[in-house]
Amino acid sequence: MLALVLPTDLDQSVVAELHPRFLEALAEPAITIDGSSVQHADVAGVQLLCALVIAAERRGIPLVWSVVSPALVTAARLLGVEHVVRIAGVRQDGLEWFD
Amino acid sequence: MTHAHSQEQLLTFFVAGAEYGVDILRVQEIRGWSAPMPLPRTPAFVKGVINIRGDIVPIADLRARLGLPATEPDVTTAIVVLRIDHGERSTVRGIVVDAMSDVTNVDAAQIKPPPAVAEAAGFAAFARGIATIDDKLITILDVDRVFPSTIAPVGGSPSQPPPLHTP
Amino acid sequence: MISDPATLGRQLLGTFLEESFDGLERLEAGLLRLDEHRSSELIDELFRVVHSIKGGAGAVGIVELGALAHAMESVLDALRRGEPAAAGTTSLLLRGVDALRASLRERQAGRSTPADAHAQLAAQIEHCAARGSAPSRGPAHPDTRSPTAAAWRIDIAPGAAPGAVVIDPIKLFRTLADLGELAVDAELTALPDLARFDPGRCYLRWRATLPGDVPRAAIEDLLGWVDGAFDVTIVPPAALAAPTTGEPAPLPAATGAPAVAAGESAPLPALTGAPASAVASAPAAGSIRVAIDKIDQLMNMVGELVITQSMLGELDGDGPLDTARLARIREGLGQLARNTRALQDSVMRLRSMPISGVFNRFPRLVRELGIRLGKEVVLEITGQSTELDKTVLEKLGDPLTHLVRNSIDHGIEPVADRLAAGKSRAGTIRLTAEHRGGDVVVEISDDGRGLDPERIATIARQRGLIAPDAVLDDRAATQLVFLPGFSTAREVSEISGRGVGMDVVRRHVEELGGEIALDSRRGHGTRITLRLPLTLAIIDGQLVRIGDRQFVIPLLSIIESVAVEAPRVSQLAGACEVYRLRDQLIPMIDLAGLLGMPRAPGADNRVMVVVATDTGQLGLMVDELMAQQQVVVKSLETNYQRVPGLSGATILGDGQVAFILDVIALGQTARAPLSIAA
Repeated sequence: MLALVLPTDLDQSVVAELHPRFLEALAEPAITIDGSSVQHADVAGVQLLCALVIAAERRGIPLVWSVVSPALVTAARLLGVEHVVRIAGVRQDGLEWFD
Repeated sequence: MTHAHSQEQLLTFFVAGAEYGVDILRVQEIRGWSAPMPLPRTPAFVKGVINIRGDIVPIADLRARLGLPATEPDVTTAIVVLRIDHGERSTVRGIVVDAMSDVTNVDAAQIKPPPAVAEAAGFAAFARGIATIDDKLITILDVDRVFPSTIAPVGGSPSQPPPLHTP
Repeated sequence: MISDPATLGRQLLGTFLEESFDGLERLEAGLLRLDEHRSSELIDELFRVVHSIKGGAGAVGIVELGALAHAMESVLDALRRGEPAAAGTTSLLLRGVDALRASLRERQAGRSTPADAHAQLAAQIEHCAARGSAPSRGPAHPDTRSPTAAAWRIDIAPGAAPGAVVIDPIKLFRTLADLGELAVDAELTALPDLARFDPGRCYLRWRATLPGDVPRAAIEDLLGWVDGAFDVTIVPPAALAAPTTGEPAPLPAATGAPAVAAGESAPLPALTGAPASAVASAPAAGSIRVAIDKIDQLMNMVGELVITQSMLGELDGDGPLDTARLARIREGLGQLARNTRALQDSVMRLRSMPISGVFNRFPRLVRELGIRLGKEVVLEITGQSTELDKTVLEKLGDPLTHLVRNSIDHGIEPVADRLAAGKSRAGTIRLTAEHRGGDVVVEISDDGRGLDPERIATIARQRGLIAPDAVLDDRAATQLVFLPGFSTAREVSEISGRGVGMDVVRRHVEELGGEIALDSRRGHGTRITLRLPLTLAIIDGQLVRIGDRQFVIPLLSIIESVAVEAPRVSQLAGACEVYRLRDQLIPMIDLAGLLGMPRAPGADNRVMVVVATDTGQLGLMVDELMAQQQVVVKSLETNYQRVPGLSGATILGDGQVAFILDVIALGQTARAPLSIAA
């Protein structure tokens, strides 16, 4: 059971290093994501997140959010992928995002 | 296909006593003789079509193409199936040969352009050179030109007729 | 609370999904018939479909469909009880079908949609049931636009050179959101699996909508600065306001849920843009449904292959390799060759599918376009069972859709114009498909206003496509529409797609190896004919023997076959022989002569096959009728070229090639003076 904690910046600058970590996560029997630290997200980061969630579903690995930041929710919503990363209804905590 | 270095590999065969060769990379396969189904209203050198694993492949008679008298096929008669390139398209077509000969390596240096005499016999249309190996002369055929690009139907094409009056 | 798909009984889910997709197809077809022919049996059936989807969804734990299905059930129940249906009900229910389908597809992919995704649509439908009328937007004034009746559509895709993501669309969407209620829908189909994924590239595309009253300049200002990094297409709101029949307009949502009818989220601008329900009626891509008898045939052939193989196996062993054994081995090998050929043919035949797979998107398309454009259109389809190769079928969809849209958009006139011209209220579009001499011919024709040759010539002159002083007859002028650059490129019409012209359609058709022809009469209508020479067309053929060869005559062309009776033959002065068949005189065609076959004079020619051609009946003379069978049409053009008089070839069970006669061409040849082949 792996608990993935997303970084403060979920963006271009970190996707290269996050990608292999996400790939490792796929070897786990289950994944929990803690997105409460995310204060800034861009399309590269959200895209990577989408890829992770979809990959987990394809492999039948249960993936659950424990908590998410409003900033991440806003980013996902603005990019129209809220339902893809299944973030609606998850408990929110953390800073509101301001640009 | 041009080779960067000087060697070319030819598949050679006999037609009417003379030896010919084609670039081996263009040869798809060699088949024994089977009678092609003749196509209506086509010139004599197109013998017809055969079925190769579900594909309809036209077969040309090289003798007729070279203006030589036709002959009956016998046990050594073979069909060399070639890949022909027409710009972006490529087709598969076969030629009837009297007998297979060999696979030979040829140096570019050994290939001479066809002599002027040959032009009179129409070779220029589809020979790209003559190779001398030991004391044998091998005419190298340009695979893409053995068949002309379009083959006009014999006997004219159907024209728009006036309507037939039926009482 | 979103349930984890992994915990659902997968098999149960699979069955439910399959049955539901089937049910939704029936529901859609039934709803389309509802407008013209309401019957209590039909409504009952529709109610039952929705009811079982609702029940099944609950049983497998799919919660997001509940409210929507319930609402649809209520409406259908009201109709069942005889309450009058309000205008717009059917359209709402069709949108409900789209929404259900979209949610089920998500579930199939292992994702769930939020419980409130269809809340708005459900509410609108409930409203129908409660008050017996669809929520109306009030009387629409012709000059003002209701703010939500039409919307700007902005499509954003990564630029042609996808490098690192330079500009963040999030910022873009935030600023667009300042202009009005923004809805964003993402398309993720290009997103590779995490294992093959390049984190530096952008694989997502988006479709955003803004209310129609946002000024275009504001949008363009904002989008100006992403030019280059992304490909942006702006589609203006439809020119017409929503009709006053109470057709509910799509309501934009502030959440990430799709603003337009659920299910329209993908695909992004392409030649089609047809409602998503029309795209791929089969739930999974890359698979086909195969008729059981084709599978049975395959199994039979494999069975025979096994027998042949064991027979050959027996011949292997100790003992002398004598002539007898060799002969049997040779026989076995021949059998093996035949089995393999038959198997090959059978497998190829699996790939052919009826054209209904493409045609069945059109009733819905025509209906919705007609409503949107305020035109009445009747669609007639024939030849649904005409079979073509699957690949060709798939590629045919786009050009056909474009042509049908053109027909509705530009061809069919509004009711008032039609009545003024003395035509029927509703325009008719005819879609036909048939095998004609080895080709598949698809025709789209309408009885609309036809092309205006003068106007076309004027536009062509303006665009510099023809010389200013060029003089063209009407026919030549209509052909100008095929010139590249003819169609309007700048302003994208939402209906006809992204400035696609007839030249693109022609290219699509030619890529399939086909031809397109256009025929139009001003005031009367237009007819477009697609002729597709297919290597994998399958026709029913009549095998005939001429001399020692077999030929195939397409069964569809054959009217009848008769044994020739000498007294009925007479010579028509200066032309060919004719046969007196009942009260008709049928010209007799000496096929052997036409095909240049050497024959002994007076031989055979015992049977006359009467065929139908463009210009009348002909009697083809053959020696003997052989079997009737389905044959796979092989094109002579693949490796050779078109041969006059033949429409292709086929390979018979014994491996022999048999040519398929082009009845129409033969008819034409026969009337020209007969020539003797060299």
